[in-house]
Amino acid sequence: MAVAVTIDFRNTYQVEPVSDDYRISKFNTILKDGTSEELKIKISNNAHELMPNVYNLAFGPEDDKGKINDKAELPHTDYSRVFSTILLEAYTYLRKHKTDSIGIDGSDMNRAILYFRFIQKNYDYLTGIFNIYGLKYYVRITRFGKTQYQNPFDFDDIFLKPQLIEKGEKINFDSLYNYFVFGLKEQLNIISL
Amino acid sequence: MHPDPIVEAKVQDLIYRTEKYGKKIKMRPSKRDRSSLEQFIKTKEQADLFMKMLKMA
Repeated sequence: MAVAVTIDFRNTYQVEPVSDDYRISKFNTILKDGTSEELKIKISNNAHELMPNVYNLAFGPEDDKGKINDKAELPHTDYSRVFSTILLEAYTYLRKHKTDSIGIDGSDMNRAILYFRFIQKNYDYLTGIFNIYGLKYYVRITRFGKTQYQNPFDFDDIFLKPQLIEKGEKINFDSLYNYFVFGLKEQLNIISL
Repeated sequence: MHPDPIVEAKVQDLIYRTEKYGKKIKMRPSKRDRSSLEQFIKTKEQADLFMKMLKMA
C-alpha cells in the first residue's frame, strides 16, 4: 500500500461510539468500488505488559466472530480520511484518559514502514498535539555457538527502548521501530517502563 | 483543548455522543500477548530461521 496520507482532523468520517469509555467505536469507510465498509476501532483495556500506561489501539473490519481483522488490506477511496478518523478517535480517548498513551503495532515490516512514513509526512501536524515514540523490541540471545541452548531466546529479558521520533529521522528499515506510542503533548507524557 | 476550534468542536461532539449513547461494555482481557516474540516463534525451525537471519544481519 504505497499511499500518501495527510492527517487532517477536519477531514474525518463520522464516528459512532459503541462503549461509554471511549475504547470501542465504529465508522464507515468508502471503498474504491463505491461500497461502504464498517471499521471498528478498539483500544485495549489492558495496559501493555511492559508499559503500564500504554494501551494498544487496533482497527479494521470485524470478522464473523466480531474480532478485528487488523491484517485486512482494504482499497479505501480516501486513506487520509481513514487514518485521520482513527487518530482523532485516539486523540479524543487521550483527552479523557490523560495519563494514558496509545500504542499502535507495526505488526509486520510493511505496516511499520507505512506508519513511520505517515508520522514523518505529518510530523509537524501530529507533534503539535502528540509526543510520538518509536519502540524496538530486543530479545537477549542466551548463547551462540556449539553449546547453544535449545531455545536461544531469553523472553524474560526483553529490553524496550522508547525513542522520541524526530523530524526527518533517517532509519534503516531493517532496524525500524515496530511499535509506535502516542501520548498527549500537553500532558508532558513520559512513558514509564 | 485542540488549537483548531473546528477540530475541538468535533472532539466535544464525540465526547457528548459517547457519554450519551455509549454502552457499558465489559471487555475481556486480550489473550494476545504483544510483549514478546514467543507468539511468533513456536517451533525449532522458526527459531533456527530467526537465528540465521540474525547472523546474516
